[in-house]
Amino acid sequence: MVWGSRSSVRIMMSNRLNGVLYDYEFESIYTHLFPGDLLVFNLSATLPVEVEYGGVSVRYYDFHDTWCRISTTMSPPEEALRRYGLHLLEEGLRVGYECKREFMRHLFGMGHAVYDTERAYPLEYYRSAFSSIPGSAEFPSAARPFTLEVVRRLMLRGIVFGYITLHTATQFGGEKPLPEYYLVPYSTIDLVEKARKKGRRVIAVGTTCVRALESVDAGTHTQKGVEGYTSLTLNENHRLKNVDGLITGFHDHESSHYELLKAFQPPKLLEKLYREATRLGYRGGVFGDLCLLL
Amino acid sequence: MLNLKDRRFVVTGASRGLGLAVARALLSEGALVAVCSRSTDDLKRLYSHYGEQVIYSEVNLEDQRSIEVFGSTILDKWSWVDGLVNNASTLGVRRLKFLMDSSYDELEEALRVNYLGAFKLISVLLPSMVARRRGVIVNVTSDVAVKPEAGWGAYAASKAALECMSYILAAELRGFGVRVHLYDPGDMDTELHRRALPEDDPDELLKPEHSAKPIVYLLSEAGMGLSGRRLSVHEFGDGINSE
Ligand SMILES: NC(=O)c1ccc[n+]([C@@H]2O[C@H](COP(=O)([O-])OP(=O)(O)OC[C@H]3O[C@@H](n4cnc5c(N)ncnc54)[C@H](OP(=O)(O)O)[C@@H]3O)[C@@H](O)[C@H]2O)c1
Repeated sequence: MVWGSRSSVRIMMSNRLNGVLYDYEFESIYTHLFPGDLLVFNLSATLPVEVEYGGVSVRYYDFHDTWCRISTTMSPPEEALRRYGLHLLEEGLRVGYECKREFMRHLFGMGHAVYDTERAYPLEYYRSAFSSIPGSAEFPSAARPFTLEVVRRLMLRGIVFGYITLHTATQFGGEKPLPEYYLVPYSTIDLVEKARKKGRRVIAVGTTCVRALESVDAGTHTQKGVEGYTSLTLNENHRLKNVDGLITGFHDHESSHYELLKAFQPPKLLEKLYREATRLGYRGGVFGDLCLLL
Repeated sequence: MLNLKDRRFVVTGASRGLGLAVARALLSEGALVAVCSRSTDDLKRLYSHYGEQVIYSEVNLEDQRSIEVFGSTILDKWSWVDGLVNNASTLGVRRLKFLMDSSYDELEEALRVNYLGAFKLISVLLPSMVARRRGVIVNVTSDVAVKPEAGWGAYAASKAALECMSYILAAELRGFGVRVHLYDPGDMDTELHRRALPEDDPDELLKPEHSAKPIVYLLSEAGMGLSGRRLSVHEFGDGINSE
């Protein structure tokens, strides 16, 4: 169990311009942002997508009206799936269902969040103040400490809020980023442009928001915005076009998420940040502490 | 004109009584309505009459997972909701009895359905309101919460908890453009009332269709400025009721 308010975590700010690190309480984040700064959140809500069928684990992601993709530890147990009205499509890469609502009932009835095989955390632990549209397999967790109380304080300080939707995929083993559905609505593209024109910062809350926002090329949007699947991977060679800063958790050094951080900070500074965080007892994981890369 | 066409509303306990009347009134205004209850026959009837305007789901408000399925189904289809009516209710007991004669289970059932169930559904749907900086929640209460009488123990206490929560939420959500209303529909001719007070003459009771109108009104822009207040059917004049 995690006790205390979801906002009682620490955040380490790292500034690439002067290489200085600051360790502070997340709840004081509003003092480090300026009126007009734009915070971008992911509206995607997380589903309990991992289900055990007699010793074989299956994870579901990329949900459509009548099918979704799967990742599994062994060849998928067809018979067990059939019992729940599911059938394999295409070499076991996708699963089909009659009715999405009944499929959701199956997930909520038998599934658990990925990495939470013991169901150690109640479902609501995987919801942030903005988790609206169901579809993520892995919890986009950076927004979790943003309680309504913190959000309110940020609003009063004049921080601007923007939203994207990116439904996260998941796989067993390997951290190769998969293509993910995303939508950056026109209103958000507009907010980004306005913030940049006025010299304000665009700060992504979570790596999913970076992926979505950086997938948008200037002038390519329709009236709805930009929608599709993104295969964008970021690393130290990526030149950020739409995002200036990032709030995120602490990631494994081998992960693609860690590579993405290098688009924001030189590797040396990142290493220093992670060393300092370890020294101060920062916690990793989806319920852990955060960093703010500027 | 209430201007509710294509707006997206959720009504709990819509298989009969007040919930059904509210759902029908909203549907006839052209709104999209998601309905739930434990039994689904009446919900299916609503669906076959109004088609894709309706989302229905079997929900037991005592069961968090069924609430999550309902919320996910709605948000998957609609992406957001404009309003939520927490109407479903249980007496907890089969017939009214003294508080000290009630079992823990009866007391807890009333709290789980009338108070915690409402809170959990709010938790699932509120993020979509906060992100859009607009939304309306109507919590249906009862006069016994403010005028507690012998025999109403489990139910009245759960409604009092719901009322207290509503005042607090109204204050906390004001800054996010989300209104929270408390509404007392008065004594209506419904199954709940028949079970509580079987001796009452149905002809002297309000029809649920009558008590439903103020809820539709509160869900529309007309409800602006009324957040955080406890309103009863008797405070709404014929102005709305004759619409
Ligand atoms: N009638 C009155 O005189 C009166 C007076 C003051 C206030 N009220 C309030 O008005 C509201 C409507 O009441 P009503 O008179 O219309 O009652 P009703 O006819 O008994 O309807 C109650 C509704 O709630 C549903 N429900 C009950 N337990 C549920 C659960 N565990 N999970 C999901 N749904 C559940 C029922 O469907 P299922 O049984 O199929 O689940 C039904 O649709 C309630 O909030 C009540 O407290 C009524």
